[in-house]
Amino acid sequence: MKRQEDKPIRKNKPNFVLVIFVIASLVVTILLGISGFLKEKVATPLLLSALGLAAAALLFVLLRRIIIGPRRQAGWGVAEASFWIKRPKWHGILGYAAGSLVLLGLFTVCAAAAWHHFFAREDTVTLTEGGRGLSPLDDDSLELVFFQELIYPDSKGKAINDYQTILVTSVEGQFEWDTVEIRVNNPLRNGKKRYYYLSHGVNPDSFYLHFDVKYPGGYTIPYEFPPVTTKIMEPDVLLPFVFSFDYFRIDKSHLEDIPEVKLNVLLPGKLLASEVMRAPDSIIVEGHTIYFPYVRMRQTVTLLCVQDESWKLAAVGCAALLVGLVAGFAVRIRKRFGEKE
Amino acid sequence: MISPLTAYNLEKLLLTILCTFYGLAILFYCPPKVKFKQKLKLVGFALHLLAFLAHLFLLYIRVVSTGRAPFTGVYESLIFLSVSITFVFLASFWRNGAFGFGRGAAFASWVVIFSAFMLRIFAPHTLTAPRYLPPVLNSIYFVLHVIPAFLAYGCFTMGFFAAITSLGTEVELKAKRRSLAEFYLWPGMILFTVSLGLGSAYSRLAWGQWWIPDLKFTFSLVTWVIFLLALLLRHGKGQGRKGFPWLVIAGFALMVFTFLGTNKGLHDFF
Repeated sequence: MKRQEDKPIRKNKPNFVLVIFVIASLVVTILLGISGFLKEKVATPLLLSALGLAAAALLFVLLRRIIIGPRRQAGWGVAEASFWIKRPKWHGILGYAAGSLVLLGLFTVCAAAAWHHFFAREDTVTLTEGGRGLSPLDDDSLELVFFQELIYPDSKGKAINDYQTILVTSVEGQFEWDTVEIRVNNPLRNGKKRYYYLSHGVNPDSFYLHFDVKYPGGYTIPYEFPPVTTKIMEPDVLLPFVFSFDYFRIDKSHLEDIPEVKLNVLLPGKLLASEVMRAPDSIIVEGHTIYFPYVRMRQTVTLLCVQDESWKLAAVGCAALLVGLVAGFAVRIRKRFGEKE
Repeated sequence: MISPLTAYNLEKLLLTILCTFYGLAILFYCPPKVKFKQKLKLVGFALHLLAFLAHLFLLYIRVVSTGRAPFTGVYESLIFLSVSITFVFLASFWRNGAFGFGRGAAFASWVVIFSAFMLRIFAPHTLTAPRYLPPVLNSIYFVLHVIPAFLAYGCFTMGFFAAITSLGTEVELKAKRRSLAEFYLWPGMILFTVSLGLGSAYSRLAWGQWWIPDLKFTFSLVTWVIFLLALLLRHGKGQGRKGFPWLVIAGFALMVFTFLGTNKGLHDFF
């Protein structure tokens, strides 16, 4: 009696599934390749079409593979049913599992890319130095405390990658707050949200009044205050006076804009001086020379706010792919790469 | 501790030595038909091994003098790619039939290191002198992303030589060489997958998105798909099986294009 294993089932028939899979893969690669050269507006739909096609082809082949089962599926081969109904050995089953895992991993990565495209939330927020802004994702309140641009000798400061540090205070609700540093490779993490440095600039409508105070000892220390007229500036450890401003304006009636401020120099309960200063004026108060050289436009920083959980799915897909490839490699080693086929 | 300037000056000499060793290795790997042909090949292998050691020393002084991984910029990348190809060969020469591809590995390494040497001589020093690492590359992900990529490139290069020499040979040799090409492709694919996965994780850390339609990323995916198709069709039947070496060749061509022609956007470090 003829054994079942020796029975041919579909000899010399072309495998249309394999043909379709290969054609779909080639179309996907061509679409991916073209999308690389196009602008984002055109590239995105092309990329999504490629991913959709890839996902459909992968799902079809994966389901067919599962339906056929290890007995008729030729090990690692993705789309091809075997000529023979074989009783699978352990490496046959492992090859079948490896191939299935690779397909599943690829499908998962495609699904993660789709999730990223459709459900990831991304927006930007621009913060002015010393000012607060609400995160566009929810009620996180962000305050830019300080921004420093470190340009590396080779970089010429051309790209985002060349800047190093900014500091931002994140205020969450009323009581919780924390000051963190955002820099390249170190975003601000808050729950599922991430804040990344995107760009920086200056706010032409927002200033800091810059004063240089020369002490009787000869040394000079710079101070900066916002031109707020309703408050008395907090005293500094080194500054023996308290400043307040009666008004601030930019005189635009000349060829160059001239900042003008009425400065009050105070000690508790005592007004030491009250002068209108136009840059670059200076006054002397109790042996201290106070220079008013310029006003500085405040810096702004734009942050990219991201809430995207699709990376978890992508990581799972990638892990499945890797396990599948390693298992497939192990099977091929066992079969000596078909040297004698 | 070697100063960057001393190391930079020493590199020129080392590159000359490397080009000579690799070149001599190619010559000895392809001896004329003489009695002691096999011994000449062994001399070629010894020279190849020496070149590899000198290559490692070159990388060592670059790392020690700069204090960072040696693959920032096209010059350093070429040096690292060259050593990766030789490393892949030396790690697999024991395999049946693989020793014969020593000439291919030496040739590829020589071409790449010679290009680096030409850059060192003719290109402006800004391209070849040690640079500060841009802040974005100052991450362990950078090393973990790039090393597997270059090793994968080494595997694909060896796979390419095995595939291209399998065309138009006798049936037995053809099967052997295609089997060897497949042998190189598997670890290459595993390493390339690791590199792409870690590259995505790195991209999320630096720019907030794991999926960025960057030119190099896109073409790496295309290369990956072509090599995967090659692996799948290798176990098919009929025409699909015959297409295996052509897919490997196409994948290699794409790999070269991806390495040299897509350094824009997020990969603009050259």
